[in-house]
Amino acid sequence: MSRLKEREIARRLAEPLDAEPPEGLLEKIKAEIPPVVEVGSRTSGGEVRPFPLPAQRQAEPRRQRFLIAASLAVMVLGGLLAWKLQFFSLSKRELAAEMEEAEPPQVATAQPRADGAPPPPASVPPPGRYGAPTGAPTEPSEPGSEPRNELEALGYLAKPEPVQPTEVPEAFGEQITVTGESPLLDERRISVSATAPGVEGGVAAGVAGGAPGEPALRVASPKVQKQKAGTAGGDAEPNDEAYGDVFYKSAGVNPFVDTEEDRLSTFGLDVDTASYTVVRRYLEDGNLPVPESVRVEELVNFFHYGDEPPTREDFAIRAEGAPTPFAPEGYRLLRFNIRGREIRPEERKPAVLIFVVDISGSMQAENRLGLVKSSLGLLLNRLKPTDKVGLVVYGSEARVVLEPTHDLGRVRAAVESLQTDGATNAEAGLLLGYDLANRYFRPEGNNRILLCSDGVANVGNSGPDSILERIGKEARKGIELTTLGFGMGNYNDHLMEQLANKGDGRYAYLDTLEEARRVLVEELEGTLETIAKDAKVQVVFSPEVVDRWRLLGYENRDIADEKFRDDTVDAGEIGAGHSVTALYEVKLKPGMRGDKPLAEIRLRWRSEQSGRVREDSKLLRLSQLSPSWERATPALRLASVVAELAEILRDSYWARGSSLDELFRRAQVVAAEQREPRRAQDVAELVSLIGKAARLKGKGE
Amino acid sequence: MRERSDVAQESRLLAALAAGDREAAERLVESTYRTVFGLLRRLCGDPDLAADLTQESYRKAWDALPGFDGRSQFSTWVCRIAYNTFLNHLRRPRRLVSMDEGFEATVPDPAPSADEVVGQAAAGDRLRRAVLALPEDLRYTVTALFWGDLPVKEVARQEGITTVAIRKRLKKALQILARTLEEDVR
Repeated sequence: MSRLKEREIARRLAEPLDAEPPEGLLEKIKAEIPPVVEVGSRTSGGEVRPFPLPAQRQAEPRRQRFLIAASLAVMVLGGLLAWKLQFFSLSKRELAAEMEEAEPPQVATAQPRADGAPPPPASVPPPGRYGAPTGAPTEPSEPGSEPRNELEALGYLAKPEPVQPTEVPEAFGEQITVTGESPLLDERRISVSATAPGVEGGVAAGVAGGAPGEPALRVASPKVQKQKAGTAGGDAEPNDEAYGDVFYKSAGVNPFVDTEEDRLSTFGLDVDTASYTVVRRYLEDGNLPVPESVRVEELVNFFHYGDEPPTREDFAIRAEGAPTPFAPEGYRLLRFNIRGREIRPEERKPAVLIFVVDISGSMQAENRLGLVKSSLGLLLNRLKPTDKVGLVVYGSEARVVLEPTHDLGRVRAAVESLQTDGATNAEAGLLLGYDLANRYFRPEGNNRILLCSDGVANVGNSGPDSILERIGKEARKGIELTTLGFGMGNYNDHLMEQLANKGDGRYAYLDTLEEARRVLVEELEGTLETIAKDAKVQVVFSPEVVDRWRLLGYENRDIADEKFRDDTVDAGEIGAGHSVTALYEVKLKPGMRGDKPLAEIRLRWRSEQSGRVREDSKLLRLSQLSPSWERATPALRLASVVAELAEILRDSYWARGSSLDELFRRAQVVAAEQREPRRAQDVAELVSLIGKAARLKGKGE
Repeated sequence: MRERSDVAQESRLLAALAAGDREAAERLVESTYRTVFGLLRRLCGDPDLAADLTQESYRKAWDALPGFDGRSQFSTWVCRIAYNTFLNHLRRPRRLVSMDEGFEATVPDPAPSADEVVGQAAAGDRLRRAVLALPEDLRYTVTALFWGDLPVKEVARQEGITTVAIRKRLKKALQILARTLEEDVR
């Protein structure tokens, strides 16, 4: 490395740019200056959140410390410092010139010690930190976000990259070598299952061969399973069918995976709860839900489990486990909860909301439009004067009813006056909504489209590709899409979920005004304000302790293990205060005791607050598992009941021996132990739904 | 091309703006937009995109101005916004281009493509890519000092570290850049 080269680079960096700003740019910028510009004062900064300047946040104490030390140094080393200061005010051209001089490097390194100031951490990179620039990360992570945990220290946490055989610690070395490339993979998987103790494995292999028509069951290698599930997720179009014909779509049921074959489970978080309300609607109407409409994670996430939100961080992670009566001996249910930071209503960013309301003929059925009106009315009650709301409707055609305005009274009147009209041109409605949202875009605000529809689209369907593509594009620009589903019968659950997934927003199904109150009033901050984007989870199981594992739900949120640290992968968006629960069924190796780590959950997300990618993790040890179902926490007991209901209703292979009658009895016990009033009410409703399902199932058999 | 307003002038304009004088905002734009555009032009290498991002930066600046704490000068502050705007632009995955390979293109790659012609433009682009591939603190330092035309003292104040530390960062950055570009040639 020649100093010549460095100087040459400094010279090239300092070369003046020949390009002038294009004509008209100045005028364009000026035209966008808002009528009233607020300016923060030197002393303020408490109320208004400054634009994220990450490096500034911790600057104050450090600077003060430095100033004290520096003033001391000025007294002692006045002369030397004066020489230094001359350098500090150099311009860039002088800087470049300065680099040309032979600069004595020891002066710079000696300086912090000479003036007595402790060197600020950021200023002294550890030796070798920047030693290998070729692979230098271009996406900055929060300092210290690199996972540093016990499992990794113990040496058996896999990096997302393929493990080099030489790096594999001896204890697991032989088992880990089975990868996707192995031609034996499928056979091996089945043969392992078939010889595994317990009934599932053998029957699983048998059923897979004998009943090809069973869509919910796949006994395949984990890799194959994951690819399939991924296709049904948000990454690609599910199929060529018109959306109008596909009401529900199953993404399959996750299989058990042998830990020795694959110990990483990676998926995008999902805060949707729509599936629970869809199921509720079915049962309340006296029907068993269509199995494809049941998404386990959405039922589980409908409930709150009393997990405390963090006070300062974006997320709090909780991990626990216990045996359950729904699984055979030797199995445990693990519950991982991720609870998002809450924000107070007054902290919420000003919002520009565009209501895009479906007023097509189908919305007349069951008074769907009436429920839309009351629901939006509830939402309007909670908005602030700084929020703006616009209204777009679509029937045969789309039109703007109201340009975005602060006058919420006018919005209310406009919503009230809506009438149903003709066919459904959802695409035109959405496009018009996006036009409005773009025109009234607030870069630091919350820009969101709220689509209220039954999801039946029969006109203007130039193929879902174009509209989904547009939605994804707008989401990246910062205009998010929340979908609120109404109605039943010809309701299109799949389309509504896909739209919200692509639009980085939440999908909720509003079966009742009570549900509208929950989503639009109680959880308004979470529905409107995203705290984390592209949130992904990776759970790592210890092959020493865990024999096999199965993730309950999240089938259509699967992410390839090696993509966990790929921050360009579209994953889940989490709203303020949201709580996300992931459940795993694991089979422990025989005779496992002590304090060994069993699994670790890693969470990776892009923080909305700082714009940076963060990572956090939590370790679960054997000693943290409850010894019995009776001694498990109420949270875990409730989660296991909800998951079991979902498994039974979706005809999961793994719940084939379970009975709704037994679940009903267990649920009653769980309901009785709920203390928090809101949760008690929710669980009471759950019990009644299980009772209804049990009766319907009994009739059918 | 440098039109840095002096500190006194900036605070006068900010005070006027706070008092409701919208024209003060126009003066602030006039005195800073060339620098902002120049910075973005260097960062992204594309004049059209740079113009778009310049506009976006000012939009963000007006919205964020209530939180401006005056710790640094307005010009320094708006350059940081522009820098963040550029990074955000990079982070937006562009799936429209290609579902698979598109991602790679969004992340600056220090290595030049095989068929890249070794000429003036290519050399400039290599340097740009190499700067983008620097670790965040070094990257911002180089960008702000050389391309944002900011004085060392201002950058130090903004980053909350000493000017000596800024100089060390700069030295480190130049070393890495030299090594990266040398490897490229090989």
